[in-house]
Amino acid sequence: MSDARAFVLKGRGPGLGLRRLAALAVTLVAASALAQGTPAARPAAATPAVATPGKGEAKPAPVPKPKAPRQMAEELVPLLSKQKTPWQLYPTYQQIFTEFAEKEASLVVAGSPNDPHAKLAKHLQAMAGLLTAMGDQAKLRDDIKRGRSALPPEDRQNSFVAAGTEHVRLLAEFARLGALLPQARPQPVPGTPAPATR
Amino acid sequence: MKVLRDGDLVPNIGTSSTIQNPVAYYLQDYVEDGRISLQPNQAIFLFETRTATQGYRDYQDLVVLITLFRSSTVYLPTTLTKHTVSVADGTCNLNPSNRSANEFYLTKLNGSQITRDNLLYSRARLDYTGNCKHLHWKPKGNGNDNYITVNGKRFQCQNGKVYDLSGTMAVHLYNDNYGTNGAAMGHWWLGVTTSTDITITVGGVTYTETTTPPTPPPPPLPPAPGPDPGTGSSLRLRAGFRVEASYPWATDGATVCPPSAVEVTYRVDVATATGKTLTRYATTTVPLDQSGAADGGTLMWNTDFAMDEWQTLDAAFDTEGTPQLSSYTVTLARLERVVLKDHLGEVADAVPSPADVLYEAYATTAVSGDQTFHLGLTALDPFMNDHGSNAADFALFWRTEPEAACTLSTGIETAPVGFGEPESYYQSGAYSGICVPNSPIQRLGELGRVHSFQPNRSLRLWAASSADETAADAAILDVFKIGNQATVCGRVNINTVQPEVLTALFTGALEANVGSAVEAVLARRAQGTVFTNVGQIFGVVHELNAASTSQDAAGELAAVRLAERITTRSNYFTVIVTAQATKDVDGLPYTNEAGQNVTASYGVLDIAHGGRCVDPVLSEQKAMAVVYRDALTNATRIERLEYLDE
Repeated sequence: MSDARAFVLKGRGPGLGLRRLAALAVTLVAASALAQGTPAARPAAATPAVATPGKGEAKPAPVPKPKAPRQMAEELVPLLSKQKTPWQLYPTYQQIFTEFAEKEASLVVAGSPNDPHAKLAKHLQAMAGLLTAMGDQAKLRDDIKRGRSALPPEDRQNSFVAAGTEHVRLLAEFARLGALLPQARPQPVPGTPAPATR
Repeated sequence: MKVLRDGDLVPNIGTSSTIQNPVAYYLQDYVEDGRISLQPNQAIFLFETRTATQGYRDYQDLVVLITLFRSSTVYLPTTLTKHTVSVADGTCNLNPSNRSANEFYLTKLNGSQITRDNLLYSRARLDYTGNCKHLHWKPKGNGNDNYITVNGKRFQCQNGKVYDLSGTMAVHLYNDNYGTNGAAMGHWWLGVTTSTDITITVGGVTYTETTTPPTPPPPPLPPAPGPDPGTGSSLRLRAGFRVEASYPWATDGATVCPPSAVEVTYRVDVATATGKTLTRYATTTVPLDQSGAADGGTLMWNTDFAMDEWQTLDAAFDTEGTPQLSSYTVTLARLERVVLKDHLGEVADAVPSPADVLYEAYATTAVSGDQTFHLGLTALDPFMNDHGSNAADFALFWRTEPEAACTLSTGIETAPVGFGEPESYYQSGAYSGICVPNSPIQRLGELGRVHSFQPNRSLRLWAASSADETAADAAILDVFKIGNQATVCGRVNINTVQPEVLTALFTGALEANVGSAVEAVLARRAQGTVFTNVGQIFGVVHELNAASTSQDAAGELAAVRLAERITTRSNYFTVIVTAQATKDVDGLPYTNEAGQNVTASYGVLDIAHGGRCVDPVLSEQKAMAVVYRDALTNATRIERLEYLDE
């Protein structure tokens, strides 16, 4: 009996050979040069010389040129046709077209249902909706690709292909609607004198 | 000439000389368990000066130990003036020499000593951590491994010299081959952890050195310029890590076996709204600079995030028009592998298992401007941290923050709850006496120390209360046996209803009250319980135990002490047979066992309520047989048969 007691009293065994990872915390710091004057988020102590753009002698930023909805659509179509755009970015594009639509809607004269601005606002809103739908398809494909889908395994392959096909259809519709948009008019750059008129 | 390498047999070569010893005499410092014990970069050359025709060749005319190492890694002390020096740290492999001048010894502050003989007779299991006032040793093995740090500089310890350190020192003496049951005399290591005002003697000569004024550090370099702020379209990314490591049973793990490195391999993918992508795939080292005692062990962690290098994606955004395409998102943050290396540079833990990744996450939204994403992982049981995110039971062993699967949080980073708080985490839970004794199992009850593959829980052989008398793992005791014997005599069948036998069995074996335990067992038997395996009595009779659920080791004392002494499978049985001749009656009304009023009929053995035979017994004969069951074949034979007259 004595050795049995000795075993128990010995405790939990030698510890020198055992070291185990117990916890891990990860932080990703992304510093965008667009955040003028805004230092990158913490950890400040561990972030020496963050690319805090805007500090010091910053050059004057170039004046951005306004883009028309059609121009934006023409940029997006080739980008989205690769089907590699992360689904997280689709709301960004959707927001852009929603703002276009809201801008047009603000120009509608009250009580004139055939106002071209109202038609254009509706048109742009439809394009925003297509972008949302494309984002949904992209997320469906990404979830299947990464094994996070709630779909039954036997349905995933077909769903993946179908989502791709639907994305193509939606993009084609988006391109068609984009082609119907009016050509971009030369827009005055903010801060520059308007062109002379007769 | 002969050449000996590690593991070679000691050459059995005698000598014709009457004044010289055979070659084995000169090799004895490098012999372990009958074989040559050398490091991989060493060899012993035995030279014989006689030719084959000149007489007996004993190969001990010249015995040379060759150690190969890169000269650039050796730093020999060169300057002298200061007699008393300070030693910061260092490790040396000890020469197991038994020559009196070379024998190792350590003198503690109270004057007691640990000698070479103590190391030998401990069978590699002596492990001393504490203070001492004198050390005497001769190094062995790979010269690159043997050094101490003297006044901040590397002081190489050479194999051919004997060293003495005098002063107050904190040391750690251990054998790195403790998994074996042998002497392993070549695997003893001496580590000096802290010391001040030390005198060092090398081969009887006091070591001195000249101190030179420290060179002023070079002025700090100006910070590297960031990207041109005027361009306004670049994206930079870097990852930072905090790591916590657990040393389950080493209360001083931070000093005696600190990790040399924690390496994190990770990948981050970022995509921008303009279709540009940035990928960072790297392995970075995370230092652990904090420690604290936790549940009989040690936790180590780092306070601040160890930040890896920046990676830049130029022309990441379209800022030349409005609306700008200035958003981006993290499409993948993958923790591929985390490797914890010990103080010898060996892998102590690697997470997760190969062919898996620890965790993958992504951002759920696109963002603009500077942003911090973060996630946290906490092993619910550091012993079971090898499950990667592809394992079906990943969530059973890891808690993630944020809780939503595979997502990154944004904002100010936080460590997981309990990170760096040893007082609140990794405490022993219920039935959690896990043990890795690194030795053969001596008692079946030790199975209770084996991990149950449930977080923080060992196999449970016992119950602390009636509420816990289910789901015990005690049945496993019936699956294993200790040793190779085929027959064990003298076991007691636990199904016995003789209180004296149970009392004798339990006395000295239970921490609980023996009388109460005997009564509880008999009560179970009276209720119809038949113990069908050895573990059942420990798992379902909580009165055998006096411990609480947090004292698993104490609770399983009964199993440790009793498991080999009891059985549920008897090989001898006493059978009493009663043969009766009855008269079959018909038409006699009676009340049967079910309480129904029925009538006796021919061809039926009519038994009335209470067991009385309605068909009258005409004659009766009883016999008693002793039956033996062969445990191997399950065949039975009657050992003895006798008729009973009464």
